[in-house]
Amino acid sequence: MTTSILRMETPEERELAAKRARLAELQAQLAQRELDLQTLRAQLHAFESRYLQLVASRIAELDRLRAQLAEARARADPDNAFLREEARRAWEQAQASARAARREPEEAALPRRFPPSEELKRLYREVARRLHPDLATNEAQRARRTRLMAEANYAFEVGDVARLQALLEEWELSPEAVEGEGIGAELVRVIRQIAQIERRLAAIERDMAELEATPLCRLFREAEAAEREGHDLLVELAAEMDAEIAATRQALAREFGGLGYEQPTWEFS
Amino acid sequence: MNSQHGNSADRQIQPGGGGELARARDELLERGLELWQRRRSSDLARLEPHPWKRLRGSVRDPYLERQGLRWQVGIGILYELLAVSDNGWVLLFGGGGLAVLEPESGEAAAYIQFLANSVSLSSDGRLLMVEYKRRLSCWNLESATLLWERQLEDDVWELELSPDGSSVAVTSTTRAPDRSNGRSHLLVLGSTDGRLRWQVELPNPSLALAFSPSGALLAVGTSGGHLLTYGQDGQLVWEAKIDGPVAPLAFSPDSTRLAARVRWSSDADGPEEDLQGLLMFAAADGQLLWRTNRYERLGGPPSLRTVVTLPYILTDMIRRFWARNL
Repeated sequence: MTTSILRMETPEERELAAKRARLAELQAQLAQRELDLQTLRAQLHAFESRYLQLVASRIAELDRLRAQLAEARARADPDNAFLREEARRAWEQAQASARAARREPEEAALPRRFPPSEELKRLYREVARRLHPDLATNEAQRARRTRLMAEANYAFEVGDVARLQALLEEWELSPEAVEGEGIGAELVRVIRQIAQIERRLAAIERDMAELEATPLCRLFREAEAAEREGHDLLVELAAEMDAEIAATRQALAREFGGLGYEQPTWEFS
Repeated sequence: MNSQHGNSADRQIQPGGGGELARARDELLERGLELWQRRRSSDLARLEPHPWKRLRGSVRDPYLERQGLRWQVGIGILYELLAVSDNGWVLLFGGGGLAVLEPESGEAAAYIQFLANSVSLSSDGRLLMVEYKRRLSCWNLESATLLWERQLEDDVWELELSPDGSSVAVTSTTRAPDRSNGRSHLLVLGSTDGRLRWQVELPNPSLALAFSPSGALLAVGTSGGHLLTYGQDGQLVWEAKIDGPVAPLAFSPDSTRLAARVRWSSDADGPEEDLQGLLMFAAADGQLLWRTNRYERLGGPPSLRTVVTLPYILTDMIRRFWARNL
């Protein structure tokens, strides 16, 4: 007769299994929400770059022309303090618009739109699920995960599938990928990971809400709605700006024979 | 995106990101929004006129579906659900501006304004006042037209249309580097033309503004604990000094009582939520009818509007009736 001893699952093991299942669920949720957040950010980066190129540059040009017109009017009536003040303000506005409308080289290099491929999204979710800093159980691990996640975010935004793949492989070979060291320690680790992920999920929701409220995102949402109706909001705004620029040029030409001032001649404090 | 690989657009896109460039870019983007709004405002005129029913309560929940509707709003943060029409159109005020939503899909069919800080809708749902960057705009929602606009010099705090929609009350404070040193005013403008009817100087910035339903009184609560009520021509009817900032205010439906909430400073012992009080005044002469004690914890009813319509309040889970003269 043979006897076999059936090993019963201990309460800690049952608890650990339940917590691991919960952790896996949260990891998947976190990966998806990180993807949503990164996608929105990348979309906004691309949209802002295109806005700067198409619309903001024209606003800056319009403000420059308006400042020229204001200055020409002030010069034609040198004793008029009101016109002088108007010209000063107009130049200030023109300078502020010009600074804000300038695109940095990395902004200019961004893609025109950001439609991530399914493969890119899948890889990013996988990276977020495995490497996320909020899965770290000590500071050194957190620092390493943060660095890798930053690289992943950048790779995602520029659509670098190969880099995301390489990051995943690098992670799989690292010692942090190894789990274990006793059930008690493991249970504590999993509970902490769950708490960290829940905090991060709440932070992502706050970030998303804040982003939605920015003028950039509101304009982006308008552009999306316009696109569904067959309009390109930025192109149409650019056309409007061109009309205003042409009208201001005409006013300059009509009133002052096209005389313009490239730089403010008033001394501003 | 992490700063190691971030580009300059992060200044804009990272939540909470600030700085001069970010603010200047926001300005440029807002100009784009305004320009687009000018193009789209003609959409409003294309809509069938809707007799709007003003909603009294403020809805801060982002999902209208919880209000029994089946779709979800995608216009950013929702501040207030302003009105609904018989055929299910919705007028709301959110982070994406003032939008008219189509009943079937919940999609924005038209925007009244993309950018707005304060709004007030007349009781009959006919007039809508909007303020953004000190510019007041008055819309006639029946004809879907902009009636008038007026640029104010001072920063606007509160805005309230009178019950009959004939005038609009505005509180403002002079733009000063230190706001607390600015001069505060209450202005009443005609709603048909935006002309100033009367104005008075306030002792400090206003936090709350309420017309009595009869339209005979206008009450103002200030940050310095003043509660002031004015008649239709701007004469001070009565005033009370309260030991904390006063906001909000609500009249009873019969205009006989005025309820005020006071927020006491948190330097006293006890958690912040305990430091709120309720005061009830006779609207005609300012007689204090009752008030809660400083450390008396308030339960329901939750809103001041409910306080003035129910005959009781709940304090420390004890129901107290007006007749007992708290």
